[in-house]
Amino acid sequence: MDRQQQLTSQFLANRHSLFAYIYGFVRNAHDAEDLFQEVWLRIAEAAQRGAAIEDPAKWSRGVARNLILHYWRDRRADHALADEQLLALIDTAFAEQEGRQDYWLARQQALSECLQELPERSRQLVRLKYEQGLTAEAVAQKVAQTAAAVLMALSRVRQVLRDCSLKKLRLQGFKA
Amino acid sequence: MNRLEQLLAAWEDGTLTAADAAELKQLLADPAARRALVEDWMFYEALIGALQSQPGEQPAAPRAASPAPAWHAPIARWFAQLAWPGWAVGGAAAALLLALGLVFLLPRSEPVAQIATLQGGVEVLHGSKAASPASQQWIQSGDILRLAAQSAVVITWPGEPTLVKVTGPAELVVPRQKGAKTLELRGGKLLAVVAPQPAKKPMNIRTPQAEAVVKGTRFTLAVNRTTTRLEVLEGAVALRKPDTARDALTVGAGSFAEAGPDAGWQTSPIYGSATREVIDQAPNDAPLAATGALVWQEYVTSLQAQGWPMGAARKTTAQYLQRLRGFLIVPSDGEYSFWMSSGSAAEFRLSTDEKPANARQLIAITAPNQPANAARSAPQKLLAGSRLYFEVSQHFAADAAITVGWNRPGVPNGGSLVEIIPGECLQPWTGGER
Repeated sequence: MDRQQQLTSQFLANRHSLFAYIYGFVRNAHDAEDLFQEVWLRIAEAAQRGAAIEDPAKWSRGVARNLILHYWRDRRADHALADEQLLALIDTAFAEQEGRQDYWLARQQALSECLQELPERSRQLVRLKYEQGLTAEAVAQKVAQTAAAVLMALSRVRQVLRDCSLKKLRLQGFKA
Repeated sequence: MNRLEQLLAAWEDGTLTAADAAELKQLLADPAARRALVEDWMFYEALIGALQSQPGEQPAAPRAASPAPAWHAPIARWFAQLAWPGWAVGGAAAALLLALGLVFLLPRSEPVAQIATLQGGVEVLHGSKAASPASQQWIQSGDILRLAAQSAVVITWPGEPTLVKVTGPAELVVPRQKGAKTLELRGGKLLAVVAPQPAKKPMNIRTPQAEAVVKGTRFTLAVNRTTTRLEVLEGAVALRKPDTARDALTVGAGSFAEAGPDAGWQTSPIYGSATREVIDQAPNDAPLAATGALVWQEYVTSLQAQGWPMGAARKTTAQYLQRLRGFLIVPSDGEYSFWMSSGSAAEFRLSTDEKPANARQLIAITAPNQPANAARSAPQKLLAGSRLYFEVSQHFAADAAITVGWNRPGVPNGGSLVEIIPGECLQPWTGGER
């Protein structure tokens, strides 16, 4: 297989982990998608130039990390998280969990089922926060609650979804 | 909730302090804590993916769907309200927009072209997510289009009559556009109709084996695992290999070239297809009059066609002529009888040589017929190797089908082979005399 196609395949196979890595730092789905797209463009351009990329997953996280630092700087976000050591530890964490794509895909499917089982109000909160990317304050305005109440509700819903999805995964034979 | 979970929740809620981050760093020295962090972050990834795949839910509209950055408009409106002289407003607005642009220096994926039409299984991979696109949807730099077998998509660029039609199975990547239109065809087939491009910004289409540089023309590109094949219908395309940019081939109309480990690096006349054209007609034109503008041109691999060609613009009140033409390469000496079936008025003309002026009508149909009752010509004595201009014209009513075949001699025991005229005996029309 052509080197570019191989790189594309490797990148796509790793895309769930990379997106999770980026989202974990920026906490906005739309911005995370933009940054993910930018990482992909850069890896494609590097491949086009003939750059030797031995470990595409690690390379992608490195590019993503730089883009995230720019992202924080552009938004003047005085980030407690922009700590080299902390970033390196998180990079190590993701490197240690490579190769579990089938588990992550199964988890997404399980979560999709669990979402259907939520009460409509809880589903609405989750959609506003994680699909539309609204801040807690913006969600609070929409649902006529305080931001603190929204955060508490979301914390509870996340726990419900976690427990539900892990139960489904265990039934499928996955070790969570 | 243990301390790690509390810190991860605070991170999610945006309430993590510097002291919390320092504490988190200490906890992450433990591999189990690192695993828990990844689990936590993968949970959000899976949740976002699950939300986007919910049936019946309307996903949030992609933010970058419009080509105009959203922050321009309110800034422009604010300046418009100021009671300044026009030049001062313009200058100040430009300065502020430039400053804001510098703030947003972070390169972004940008809209490149639009999906005009699509059929069959087409998927766009944007960011980490794959979705079925809609007509008029913008494609952005970084997007990957994947087409299943027997699917197709037509992509257009705003403000010019350039289009690219990709037929599956295929994979098309849209890289960052650095001023010029650039696509990467990783596999499959592509037909391009390219309006004249700026001199220093020709369109580039890259494949694993070659790169086509296009200033304005019509051509097809077909890519498989080892070979790229370029066929030019009109104009000329420069084809070059990625590793030897100097060794470029200029491929002219009616010629093809291939790039790949087993391909010779040269141009050759195209075999294996005829030219299919759709021509606009004036309302009172006779059904087979070719008076109007060429609306569409493509290759077909045998003498048959059915349905409106995907990608061709169409006016509902107009009438059209469909024409298949090119050159017949006679395979063997003998007598040939031609036959034709058509869903509307049509005629078949064959020249005695390569010149269209010498073409004579062999078959005429005024009413629809079926292949079982195909109209036939008188036998024609032809010589092997002859290259004869032919033309099939059809009143393209209700997208009527048309098929032209022959009884071909040279079959053992003195029989003849009844078949639709195959691509191996055809060469396309490459322009010149109309």
